[in-house]
Amino acid sequence: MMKHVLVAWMSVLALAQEPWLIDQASQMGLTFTHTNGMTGEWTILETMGSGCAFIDYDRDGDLDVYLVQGAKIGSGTMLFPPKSPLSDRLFRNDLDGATGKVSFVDVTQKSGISAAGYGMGAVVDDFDRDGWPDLYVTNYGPNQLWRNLGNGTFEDVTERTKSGDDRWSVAALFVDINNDTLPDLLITNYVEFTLENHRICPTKSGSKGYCGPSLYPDARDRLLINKGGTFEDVSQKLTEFGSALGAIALDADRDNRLDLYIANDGDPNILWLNPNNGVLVNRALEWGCAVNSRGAPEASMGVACEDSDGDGDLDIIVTHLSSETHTLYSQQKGYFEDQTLSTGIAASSRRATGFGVNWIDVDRDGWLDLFIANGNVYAIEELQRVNDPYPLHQPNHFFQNKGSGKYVDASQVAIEPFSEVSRGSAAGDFDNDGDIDLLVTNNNGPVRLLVNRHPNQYAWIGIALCEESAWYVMHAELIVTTASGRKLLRRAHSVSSYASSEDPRVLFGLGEEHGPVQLEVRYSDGVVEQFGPLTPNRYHSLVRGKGTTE
Amino acid sequence: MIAFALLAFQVPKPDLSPLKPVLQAHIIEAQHAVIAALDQATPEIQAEAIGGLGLIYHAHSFRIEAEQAYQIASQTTPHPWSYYLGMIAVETGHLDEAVGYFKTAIESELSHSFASVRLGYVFLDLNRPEDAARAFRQAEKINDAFTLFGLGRAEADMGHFDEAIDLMSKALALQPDATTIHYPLGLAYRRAGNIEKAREHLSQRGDIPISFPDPFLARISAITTTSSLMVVVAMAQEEPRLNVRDFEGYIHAHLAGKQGTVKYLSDAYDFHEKKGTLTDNARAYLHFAMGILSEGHRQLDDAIEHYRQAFRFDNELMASLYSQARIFAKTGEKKREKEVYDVILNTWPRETDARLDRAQVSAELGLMESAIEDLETLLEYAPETHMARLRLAQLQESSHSEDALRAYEQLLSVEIPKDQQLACLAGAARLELRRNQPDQAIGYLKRAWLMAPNDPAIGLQLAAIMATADRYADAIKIYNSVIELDDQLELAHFGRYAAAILLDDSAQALSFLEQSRKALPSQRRLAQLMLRFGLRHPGSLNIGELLALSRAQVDTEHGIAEEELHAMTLALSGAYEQAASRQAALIDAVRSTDDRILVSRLYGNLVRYQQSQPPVVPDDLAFLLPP
Repeated sequence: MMKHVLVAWMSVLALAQEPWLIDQASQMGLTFTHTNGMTGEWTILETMGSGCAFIDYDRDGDLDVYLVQGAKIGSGTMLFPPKSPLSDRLFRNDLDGATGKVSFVDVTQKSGISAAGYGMGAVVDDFDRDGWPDLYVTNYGPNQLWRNLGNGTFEDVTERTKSGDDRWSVAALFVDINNDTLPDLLITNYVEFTLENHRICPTKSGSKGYCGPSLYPDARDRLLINKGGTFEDVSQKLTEFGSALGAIALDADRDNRLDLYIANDGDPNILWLNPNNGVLVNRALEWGCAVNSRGAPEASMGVACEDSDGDGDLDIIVTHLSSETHTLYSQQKGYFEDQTLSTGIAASSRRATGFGVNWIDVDRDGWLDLFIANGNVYAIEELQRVNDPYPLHQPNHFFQNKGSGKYVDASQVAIEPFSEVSRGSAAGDFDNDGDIDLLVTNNNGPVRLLVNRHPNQYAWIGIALCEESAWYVMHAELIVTTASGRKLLRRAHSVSSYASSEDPRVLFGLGEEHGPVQLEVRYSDGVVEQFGPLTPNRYHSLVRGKGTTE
Repeated sequence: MIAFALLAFQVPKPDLSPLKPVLQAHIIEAQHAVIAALDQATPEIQAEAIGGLGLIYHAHSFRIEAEQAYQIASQTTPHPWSYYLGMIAVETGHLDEAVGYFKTAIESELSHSFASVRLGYVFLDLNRPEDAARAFRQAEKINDAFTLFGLGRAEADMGHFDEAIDLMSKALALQPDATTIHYPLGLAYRRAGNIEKAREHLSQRGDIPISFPDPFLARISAITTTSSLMVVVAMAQEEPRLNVRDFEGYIHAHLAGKQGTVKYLSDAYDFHEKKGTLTDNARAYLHFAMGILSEGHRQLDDAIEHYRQAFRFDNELMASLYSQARIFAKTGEKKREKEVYDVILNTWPRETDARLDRAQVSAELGLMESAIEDLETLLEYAPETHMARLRLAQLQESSHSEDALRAYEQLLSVEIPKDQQLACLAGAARLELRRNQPDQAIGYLKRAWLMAPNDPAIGLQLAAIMATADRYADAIKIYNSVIELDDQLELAHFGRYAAAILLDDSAQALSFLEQSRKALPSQRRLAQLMLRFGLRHPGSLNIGELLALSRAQVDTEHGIAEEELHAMTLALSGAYEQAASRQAALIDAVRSTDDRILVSRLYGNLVRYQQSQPPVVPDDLAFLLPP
């Protein structure tokens, strides 16, 4: 008896000690190491890559993975030479529905994707509305638009569709700007860096170090209107720009047209309001989301948008450098307010540089937690002093939402203590078990697939909301109402975080409620539709127009 | 004595090995001074010595050791060392610890208003506005903009927007240039419901901070400035041919980042000169640093003057001479560049880089004998200088081709950098071509192409030589690879087209031509090349097509080359009279130019047209070889 009690107690202890998110990438065949191509020249480029994407490219119902790779920089010898030729990789998810066992297979060659540029990010959307998710890859150098042919292969249609950009692009976003149902393309570009204007900024100890983006001219962003096969360049509408690294779309002014929010590194962020006259107007400063509450522009990297405090409107979080805080802009009476200090994320965030950021309900309690992928951009003197060959690594952060958007730093219990140079991060339920998992990429390091092992057994509901004969609905707001009247707002999206694309389905944790729920969908064009009642603990495939409209 | 031994043992000593030796020496000297002081001094002086060492560590980002030193010092005299401990805690994001340190600093020295202000800002960052307001009020007698602004922010965070507006407005009145005040003031107005005033201030948001002279932090800044100059000197001594970008970034980061650029150094120079505290060494390195910044700002005359002054005050500062030479090289002033190398070599006759560079400049000035003499001298005292051997071979290609080829072969058998290997292979190929050995030349260039498959210039040369050797199909393959690398290379487009024509594959030629027309934004050069080729190979285009092309070119481009080619085409078509007339007009137009070769060639063909003879057309494939 005593022995049984001991074993049971030990297993409880083990459970208590096991992090909520556990890396299973290599066990599941997701073997990929990012190479930043550094040759000892301390270029800003090598610190910035790269992102990742969840993409169910074969539409077999489980999320496949696209990983963005770097390339050699300049003509020197790489300090961390790769073991195989460098190019982006596509991994197919062979999820066994019966056993739940996941294994990934590298299908890059079969897919026809050949992306060997210096990769930065991956954007997933169905630009041609044929129902198959396509892929836009941003690079330092020419970007590529890969059209999904629906047979497991892709075709490079960059030139044909006039969707290219040869500059240093990091974030991009498909978004229907003109409400014609076709996704237009926003490409945000970082800085005009070349090997010729490259500079080295020594540290205080006289060692060589990285320079920041302010030494280089900002690169202009690009806006392309989808004309149904080709894109038309209307970038002249974007009259302001900065060192852009992140972009999301939301209808900030509730005029049933999507607006654009652009996170700039060191420059004020931009909120392009999109009124119905074709002229974009930057209102970020007036709306309170350009700079922090002290009026200082920060080094914005990743960006995410959700209802973090459960008050029924969308908030924005932007990740920043160590010594700055990440900044949480909460919507209040039509404006945004920097609420960082009152949320509880400030203290920890000052100690690390954040890139990827995900609002995810890991414990399914109905409150969105925060994962931040960290990794510095300047050499950390303490690491440099012990001759660390790449002294930028830092542990990631996990902030648990204890309700109403009040967070506690739960990194020690939630995630494994990897100290890496993390960059991209994408949330997705890749094993279709109803809890959210995370894909995290590391600059000059291995990919991590963080599997959700949180012990909570709370109910959940998954929504796969599609357009008729097309891919998932994007940029809609989904509001679930539980039996007790609790309302949960989530945003249907793909692009988020840093240079990454997430699960286009929407997952709700329902806390202790187990009954059926009602779903209201507010589409970006203003149409509102009701679905339900919907049973928890399963995914529901819904089609726009098949619900009830008011 | 025991206390001394204990203290001496406790003096923190970071690993200085990553630092420049000059900084290591500076810090080690400071450590020795501290240990010496511990032996003799009172506890207060000991604390000052260890705390002072902490400042040095702090200035060099040895935060852990700085913190240890401050801790030891603060045990005896909490003021000012607790203050510095608080600053380190703020810098590392440990705000709760900072609160404790600043409180200790305030308790230890009640008039320590700076600690109160810092504490107030820490409380603001900890979202404790009531505590922040209390801390600011403790320091309020300073009544400066920084404190008033902090207090205003605290009031705003507590929801007292009218008070916040009042305090921040006062701060703005004290420092109207501090544009950072506008945004929080605008937010306070918005929260108070005054949207118009809110918009007014939000739109004036800026990045100019509120000035808050802090004598405690000034001690650290002074150390940083001194160290920065020491590092600049050290780096310049290590690498006289310095990369300006390294230094410029360095100086920006540590000397002039906040204050401006050259002006900051120049003000510092004037200030210390007036005080009589400048040594010649300091003068030299301040000028040197100003030279680097001026050069970075493209103020080249100023840069030259600063570099000259630097050398005047320190005639060992070779880097300032190299810097001048680099500027003259950029501006193309070769004679002045050579004069600088003369100065270097007069002082340091065995300075390899200067001798190599002088040889290069001499060659460019046409002083071949001087160039060869420099290289031979260099090889006498530094026979392993492969670059010198390579340059000598290049200079001797015309006069001593056998020696040059042998030198290239010898260099290729030793370990030399890739760019030098490529230069040897290209040189050897040139020599083999001159000896009419195209297969050998192709062999060399193939090796080069294998080494640098992404270098279109090498591919272009290889393809052109293959075409010269009648290996048209091979040439087309290489041209295709080159175009894949860079589809804007007109020579590659045309070479591919010409090779297809010579291969007698007109369908492929037309297809290539179509691709080229799509790829190239301007057709001018392509058309010129086609005409020249067509004139030499009448089979490639019929005379009607040639005439149409040349007429179109003349009509659209109005250039000398187009006119000349059109006259040639007319002559080939038998329209000698028209050709002669156009040629005569062209000669009138270009007679005043200095291009005697052109005028003489035009005359030659004019005479031929007048005698109803076809024109002399330049060699057909030679022009395909890039220079």
